[in-house]
Order: sequence, then structure tokens, then C-alpha cells
Amino acid sequence: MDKLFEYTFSALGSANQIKLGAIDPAKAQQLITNIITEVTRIETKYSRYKDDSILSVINSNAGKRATQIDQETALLLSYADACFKQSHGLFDITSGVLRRVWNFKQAALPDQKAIEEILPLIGWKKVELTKSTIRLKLPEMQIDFGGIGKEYAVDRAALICLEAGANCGFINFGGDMRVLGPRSDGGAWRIGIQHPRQVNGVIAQIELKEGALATSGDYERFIEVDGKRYCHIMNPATGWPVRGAQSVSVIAESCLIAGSVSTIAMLRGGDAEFLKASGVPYLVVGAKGELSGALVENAQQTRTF
Amino acid sequence: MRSLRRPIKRHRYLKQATTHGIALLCAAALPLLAPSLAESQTMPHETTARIQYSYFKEWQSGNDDRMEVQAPYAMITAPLSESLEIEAGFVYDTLSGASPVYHDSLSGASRRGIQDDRIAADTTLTKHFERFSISVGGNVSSEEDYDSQGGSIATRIWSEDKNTVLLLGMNANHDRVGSSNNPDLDELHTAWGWAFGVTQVIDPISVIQSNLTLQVDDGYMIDPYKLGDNRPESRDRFAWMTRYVRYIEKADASLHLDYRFYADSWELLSHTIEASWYQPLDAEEQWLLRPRLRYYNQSDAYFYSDLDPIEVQDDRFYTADQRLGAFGGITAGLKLMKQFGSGYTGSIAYDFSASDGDWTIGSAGSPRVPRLYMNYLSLQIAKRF
Repeated sequence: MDKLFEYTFSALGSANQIKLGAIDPAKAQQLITNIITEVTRIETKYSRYKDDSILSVINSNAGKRATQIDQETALLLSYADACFKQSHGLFDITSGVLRRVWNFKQAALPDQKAIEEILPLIGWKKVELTKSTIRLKLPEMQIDFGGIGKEYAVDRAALICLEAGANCGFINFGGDMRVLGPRSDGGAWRIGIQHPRQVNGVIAQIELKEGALATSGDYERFIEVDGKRYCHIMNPATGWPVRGAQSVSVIAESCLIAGSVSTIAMLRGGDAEFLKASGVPYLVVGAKGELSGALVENAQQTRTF
Repeated sequence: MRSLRRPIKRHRYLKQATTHGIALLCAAALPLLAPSLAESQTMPHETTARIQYSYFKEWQSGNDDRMEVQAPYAMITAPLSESLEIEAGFVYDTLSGASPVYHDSLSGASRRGIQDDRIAADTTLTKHFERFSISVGGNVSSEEDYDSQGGSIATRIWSEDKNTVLLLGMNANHDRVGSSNNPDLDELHTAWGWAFGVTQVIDPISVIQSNLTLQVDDGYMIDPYKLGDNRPESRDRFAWMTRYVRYIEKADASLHLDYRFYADSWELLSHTIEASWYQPLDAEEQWLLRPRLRYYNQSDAYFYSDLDPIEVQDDRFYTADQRLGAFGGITAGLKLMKQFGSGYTGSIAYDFSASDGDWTIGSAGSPRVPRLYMNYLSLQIAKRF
């Protein structure tokens, strides 16, 4: 039973990978089907692109009425609220509206005036959230689950496996991953962390038997103007991309926590103080490529594969 | 109740980690990542069919008279809509050797047929809401000398994190009692029951459950096949069951400890303690072995007598039914469960039981309750669709 089952598919805007070991083929197939069903459910429910998703309904009711939400949505929003508070307002799920002025498809900076016109539409404090309803106070305000949704889907997929007793393998959705348990021989999975400046490069190699690993970086979507990089991670107060670190990787028990801690750290410019206080192992690749964090020992000579 | 979830072991990197700096995040992530939420999303979307065959045999030492029951049972659980679920069961019992042996051989009463059949069906409809569910059920059962119809209603209410579940239930049964010895016997028996229960998840590896049930019986409760049998027309019963379940990490197994207290207005009092152990046999947990051990201790009803019925006057309450006498009993059992591919599970269970009037603890036993042995075998196959 040492054969590994691997399945790759596209969803949530990324390439996803499921790897299962020590399992019979029928069960692996069943789990993969269940995971895809669950991921599709999450994607449909929280998609920005589908008009009938709960997210679209909430956004289309902005400035008008409150939207009824179910328990799962309420818990996700209360998690977003915790992210907002933990980051002192930097992690704000209303800041996606900046997409209207920031276009990462063309190398041109938006007008400062255009940014300033958008800024009033940003602010988690302008959202009325109760246990069963949400209301965005201003018309044209919007929320999205960037930085939460995919990570949540990873954990859900992992829970489907763990609940079914499948505890060998990992779930990797676009680089955010969770390990179900060690290899069938008890060994760790070797996981490479993407080099933020080399497309096929690995900057560190981590051995994981359990837990989750997420990386947030300025290399996912960006434009370069006059030799300066502007990435998709935005400061909600200024409407401008954050600066300070190329990437932050975090290991935590859940992908949700790993993902939001790494994003918050990016928003804080790779802030070591925050990461130290968070108590989780991390690796920061600084603005000049310098490394810091408990995972530095795992950094290696860059190797292309 | 769903099976106890396995705690997710911490990674070595995380062993010393203190996460005070992200305490808010951790607290908010907890309910979101609780397995119960995933369950609530998927709960009613599976159809399960189960076929079970049970064989039960009872005999006592020095007596050839024995009772055998064979009971094939079929059950299906299926979703009717997103939130509505139906469960239906059907059983056909074949009983040979007639009703429990006990003092029948002394009574000299003419025996009813060697063979008796019972046919029974029950169905429950459950509607799931966000924080509670409501179940309504009905059951019918019919045999030559006994017909029964009943209904039940129950609600389960859970806390937001699903770590606490409350159960409130009510049921009623209406029975017609006859006798193949006496065609004129046509009596009624009714029962009303109430149930209150709490299930509390203590931490990721332990759960405690406690249920109280009350039942009020009215009507004919005499055993028409026992000479001189004369019982009160009302019986109030109280039962309290508590179960503690804990996952034992070292053995990768879980331990179930049960205690049940029972008392009724016939002054019958009983205590049951049971321990069972659920041990996965392989890393994939496809094989599961469950040994169990139970001790049961009962005091007698106030009108139970070890005397022969010949001495008894007409109007006095009297029974020589050994099930109402004082005795103690031990049960040992083993169950093996296996998960097959494509949704099939199978199990085989065997229990051996012995009871005796001399095996009581704390009070005197009934000397006329002889050593009684029971064998119980059950085979089951289930399929999820």
C-alpha cells in the first residue's frame, strides 16, 4: 500500500494537488470526489464572479439592506473580523474594491485622485455584522474572502480526509497546504518554498509531518513601473501596495491560521515583532532577499527543478 | 452520536509554540474548523441501507426448555430533501420454544404453540434546522397475542459550536394483549415516556452523555402464560444512563464507560456497569475490534415470590417471573467491524451472558432464580450510497 495517489485539478483560481498514501484506491477515489465536491461548494458559495453566490448577494445589497447569512458564512466573517483586529486594521476584507483602480495587467500606476475616491468605500468598521446578518453600509462597498477562502478550503479538504481516517498525504491548493500526516514509512514530506524572485526556484525546503504551511508574497500578482514593484497586497489605509518583504511563509496547525498570519505579516512589511509574538515558525524573505525566522535553517542553495 | 474524532497531533515545530500573539485568530478559527461544521453541511445527503440478522438463544441448567429467537432486520436512512431525512426499519422475529422458560414448567399451564412470529415496522422523519432538529416517529408491531402501536416526537438542540447537545423526547404506546390459551383475554396496555438528555464534548478527546427517561405504564401487565400471575395495573419507571467516552492516544483506541440506574414503583432497582473498548486493528482503521464486559444487578419487585403459585390467594399481587426476581448477571462480548471499499461495512458480534440468583451484590438474591445462559449473535451489512 505504498503507492501514492495524486490528483491535480483547477479551482479557486489556482492549480491544486491532493496526495494520499497508505490508502486503498476506492477510498482514495471517494475522498478525492468528496474533496472536489466540497471545494466546488465553497467556490460557488463565495465566488465574486457568480451572481447568485452569497458573496455577490451581500455585495449587491451594499448601501441597502442587510443580508441573511448561514452559520458557516457567519463564522468566516467573524474570522475576518478577528484578522482585522489582530492586524490593527491592515487585513480588511473590504479592501478588494481597490481592484477598480489597480490593474495588474498593464504596467501603469493609477491616479492618486482615483485611489482617494475609492478609499471611503474601504473599512471593516463600515460593516454591520450580527450572528445572522451582514450589511455593508455604503453603496458600492464590497467584501471578498481573498486570503481566507482558499486556506479555508484546504482545511476543509484536510478535515474530510482526517475524518475518514486518511492521515497520510497532503492537500496543496496553489501553494497553501496542509499535511494530513507523515509518509507511510513515518517520514516527513519535503516541501519546497517558492523563491520570490526565481520562477522555478526554491528558497527553502521544509520537512513536515503535520500542520500547515502557507506563503504570502509580492510575486503572485504585480506590476513593475520605473523599476519599482507594486504587488497585489494593499494597505487599506493608503490604497497602495505594501512594501518591506518579498514573501512570508508560516507553519501553523491549520492552513487558515498559516495563511492569515503570513498575509498579516506581509501587510506589516514582514514585521518580525508580530511574527515572533505569533509564536509560529516562519521564514521572511526581506526586501533585499535577506532571510529571517526560525525556518532559516531550512533555507538552501537555490536549486531549480 | 457521531464517533469520537481523533485529535490532530501537533507538529514538532509547534510543540513549544505559544500563540498569544494571534490568540484572536486561533479563537475565531476554532469553530470554523470544527469537524462538526463539515458534518452539518453533509449530514442528510447520504442514503444508508442496513441488513441485520440476529440470533438469540437462552437456556438454563438442568432444563431442556429453551428459547430461540431469529430476527432478520432491514433499515434504510435516506434524505428526502436538503434538510429532511427519513429512517425506516422492518423486523420479522421468529420465536421458538415459547415465552421465557422460567417457572412455566412448574405452572402446568398448557403451552402456546412452539412457534410464534412477530412482525414490526417503525419509521422516523427528521427535519434539520440550523440549531435544532425535530423527529416524529411511528411504530407498529403485531403477533398472534400482542399488538402494539406507538408514536414518538423528539427534538435535539445544539449549541453554536455543537459541543453541547440537548435532547427532549416523548413517546406513547398503545398495546392490545391477548392469549392463545384464553380466547376471551382482550386487555389494553398504554405507556407514556419522556426523555431528557445532554451530550457534552469536554475536549477533543472526551465526551460525556447523560440521559434520564421516565415511563408511566397503565393497564394489563400480567403474563397470561404464568399461573397465578397478578400484577399492579400501573408502573412508573425511572432510568438514568451516563456514558463517558475517551480517546486513548497511546493505544489509538477509545474507551466507553457506561453506568445505568433503574428504579420503578414495583420497587425493582437495578444497576448496570459496562466497559467497552474500540480498537482499530490496522493503520487505515478498516478493521475495528470491540470487546465489552457488563455487570448487571437487580433487586426483586415487591410482589415477586419464590413460592409456588398454589399457595397464592386470588387478589394478592404475585409473580414468579424470574425477570422480576433478584439476580446478578455478567455479559462478555466481542464485535468485529470491517470497512470495505465503495461504501460497504460489515460486522459480526457475539455476546455471552450468564445470570444467577446468587450473583447479586448488596442485597439477597432470589434462590429460585436458576443459572440462566444466553447466546447472542448478530451479523450486519450496511451500504452507503
